[in-house]
Amino acid sequence: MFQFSQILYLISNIIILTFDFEKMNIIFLLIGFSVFIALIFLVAFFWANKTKQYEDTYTPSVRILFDDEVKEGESIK
Amino acid sequence: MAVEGNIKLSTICYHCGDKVEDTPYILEEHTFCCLGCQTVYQILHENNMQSYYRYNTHPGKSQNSDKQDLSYLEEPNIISKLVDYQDEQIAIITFYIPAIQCSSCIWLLENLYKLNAAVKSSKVDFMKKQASITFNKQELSLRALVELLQDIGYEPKITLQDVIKEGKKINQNGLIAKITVAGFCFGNSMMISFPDYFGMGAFEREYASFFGYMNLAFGIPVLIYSASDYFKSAWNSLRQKRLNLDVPLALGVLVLFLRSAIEIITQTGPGFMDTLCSLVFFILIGKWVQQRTYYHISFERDYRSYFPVAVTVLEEDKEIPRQISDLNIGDRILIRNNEIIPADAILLKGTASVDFSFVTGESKPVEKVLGEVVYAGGRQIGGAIELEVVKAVSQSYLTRLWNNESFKSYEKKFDTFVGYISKYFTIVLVSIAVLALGFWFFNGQADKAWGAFTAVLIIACPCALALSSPFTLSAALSIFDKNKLYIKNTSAIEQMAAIDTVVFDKTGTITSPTASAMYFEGELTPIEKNILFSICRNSNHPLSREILKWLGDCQLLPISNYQETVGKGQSAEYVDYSVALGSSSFVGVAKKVEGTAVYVKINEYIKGVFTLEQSWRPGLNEIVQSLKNEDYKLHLISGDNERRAEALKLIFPAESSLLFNQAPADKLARIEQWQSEKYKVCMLGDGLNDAGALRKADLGIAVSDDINNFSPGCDAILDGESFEKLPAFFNFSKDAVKVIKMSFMISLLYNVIGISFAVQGTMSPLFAAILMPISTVTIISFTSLMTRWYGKKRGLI
Repeated sequence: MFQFSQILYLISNIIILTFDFEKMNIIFLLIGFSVFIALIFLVAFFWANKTKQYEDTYTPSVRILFDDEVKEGESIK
Repeated sequence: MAVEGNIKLSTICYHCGDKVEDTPYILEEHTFCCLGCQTVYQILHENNMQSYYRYNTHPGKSQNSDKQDLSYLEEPNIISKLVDYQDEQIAIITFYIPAIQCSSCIWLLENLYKLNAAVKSSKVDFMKKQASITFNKQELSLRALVELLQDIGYEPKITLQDVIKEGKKINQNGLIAKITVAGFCFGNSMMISFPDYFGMGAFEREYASFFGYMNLAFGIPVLIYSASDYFKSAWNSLRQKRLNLDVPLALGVLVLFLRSAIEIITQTGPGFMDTLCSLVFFILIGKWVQQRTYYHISFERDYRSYFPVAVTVLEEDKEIPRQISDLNIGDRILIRNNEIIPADAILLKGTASVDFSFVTGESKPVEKVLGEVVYAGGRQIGGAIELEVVKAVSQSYLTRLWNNESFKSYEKKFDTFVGYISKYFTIVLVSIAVLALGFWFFNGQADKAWGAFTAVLIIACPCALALSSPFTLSAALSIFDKNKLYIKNTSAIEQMAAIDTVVFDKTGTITSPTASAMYFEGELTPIEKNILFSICRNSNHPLSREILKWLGDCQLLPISNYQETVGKGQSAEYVDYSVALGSSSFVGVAKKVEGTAVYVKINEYIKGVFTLEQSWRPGLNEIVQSLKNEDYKLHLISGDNERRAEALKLIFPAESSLLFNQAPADKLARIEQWQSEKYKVCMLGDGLNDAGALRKADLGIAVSDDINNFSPGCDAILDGESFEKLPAFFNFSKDAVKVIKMSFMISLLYNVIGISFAVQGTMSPLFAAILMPISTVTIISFTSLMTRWYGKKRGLI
């Protein structure tokens, strides 16, 4: 499994190799990264929306407060 | 009886929190109001689920109501209509459960598997009051599941027109995706455009074309995807030869894109792509804000939501549950206690005592004799009856209303303020642009002419105007919402502001179905009141208590010879008064009024009669007064008889028409008549009998004491509690329209400033990029603050 930094390194290498490195300026790389990261968030939002994570914004907030007492009840028995 | 009554302990039911007096249901030091509540406690206790009571005190719902027959849930074709998914083993069903009201409910329903192992999982959506349950249908039938839910006090509401499922279909995902894309492109193109705004040195100029193409890349998805609805809408409205606000919007967006694209490709300028993205982003947000959805309320109900899913049909001495839509003429149906008669039918067997409160608004049961036609919509009270269907469900007296011509062709034609303005706006905008074009062209500056022409169309793009109405109205909507008036959509608020005639239904609308009070016909002197007060104090009978409430503060007199005949009445003497009060047979007179009545006889002379009536909603007098002062025309249409006409004449102004004995179709016709006299009519009603009138009226408000219950199709649902705020609601809706007009002036001001630069051909991209967001922010904050300020002024916040 790749680390995130490794992926970035790989992508930067690809970009640098694709363009001519001599004329390449760091600004293209930075803009490329920023747009790429923004795209990741865009896709993440689409995914969250599609998997209905915004459908019910209230119930999970209550659900998390319930004690997990299944085992507790059984141990008393 | 009278004496011990005072020592009774009043405690609170452990399960539902209702007040209980002297209950036999006591279990482990907890008291319960009824067997139902106790059973729920027992079930939970046996299954080691007392946590239910830990999260909230008295989380349950009173179990006092009767349970209905569920045999229809065994019919495969009904099951397949109800479930979301099923295979050989597993079925998934989503129930609408109105009883969901606190975290304990979520806990219990999500731990359903502890009660029955056949339940695989259950998930609650609190806001929608829905529970989606996955269960093994081999081990647990749908009927058993519903019965299990009933047993623990969470009876699902199952109707033919499954409103919740229909409601689910409306989804905003498309719009949300468009907003997301526009927002993404807006942020990125803004970032890319910044260097240009701050001025680039010679070194940075090298990147100008790169930034330009990046901007172009961000602009294309916004134009093609995010703004697509505006182009469609503008195209449609042009085809219908109407000008709506989307026309100048779409024109602005298109011109923005074309000019920017040309500038970028020819490398003559940086373009306005960031302005394009922000514009589309903001107007889409305005659209999103406007589409408010109420999860648990449906405004589009018809008779099918009232009727049960199935009815028991008798065929060859067998009872078969059958879907209502499959009911044929000639079928023999069996209606049990508390069931609704689904179609017009002839009574064949049994004593029918039918409550037509759905249909007529009158809640007193009507007796029917054998062979008589019983209309659909009535609720049988008493023993089971057998009937023969004479008309199909959709052709019945009540449901015919939905087939009414004026009902079908019904479309609320209402010109909103923005709709009205946009006609002129577009024409003025295009003519200014053409004038600018012509001016520069004839002055020999053709390049400037093109610049000025596009600049006008860009800068005057009514973004702020498009936002003023959604933001004002949605702010108003949430204020109404807080005050328990649930309005269907934002344009209904503008309709509300235009109303000049208010029509009330009587029963259930201006009277409160839960509160009843004594109503006295006749006259009493103060001394007689004192005597009655002294007599009634001795009795614990509920009617005596009600009479005491009616009498208010009176002096206690030493009465003698007090006698109470249980269930009949009481008598006493004071000095030379001899008083008897009670039923007609007790005081010895002929029955004068139907229903519960207490006759007062003083010295062999009938002084009057107390009847128990639904009392007016609190503040009815004030509402009528203040609406009258605001120059609203007020009318009353009741399906009920004229018994209380005198009392109503005192409340309503003299010019109001008070109409009684109106059938549902009469109500509809009456509303139509007023509308043809150019009145803007608002109808307030509650029952199915008002359904026609509610839909026909320019604004139909259904008054309901439990908004989760079914109310007829309408534009707004008003919780009975907030009935007194009605005048404030009407005033506030007018304020909201005022705010829209004010914000329109502001956005117009921005447009004038922008255009004055644009016609000179001196609009820079930076200027557009600043003006557009500033005008947007001004409008959004102005409308939200002003609406809240008006809300405060009207006492609604």
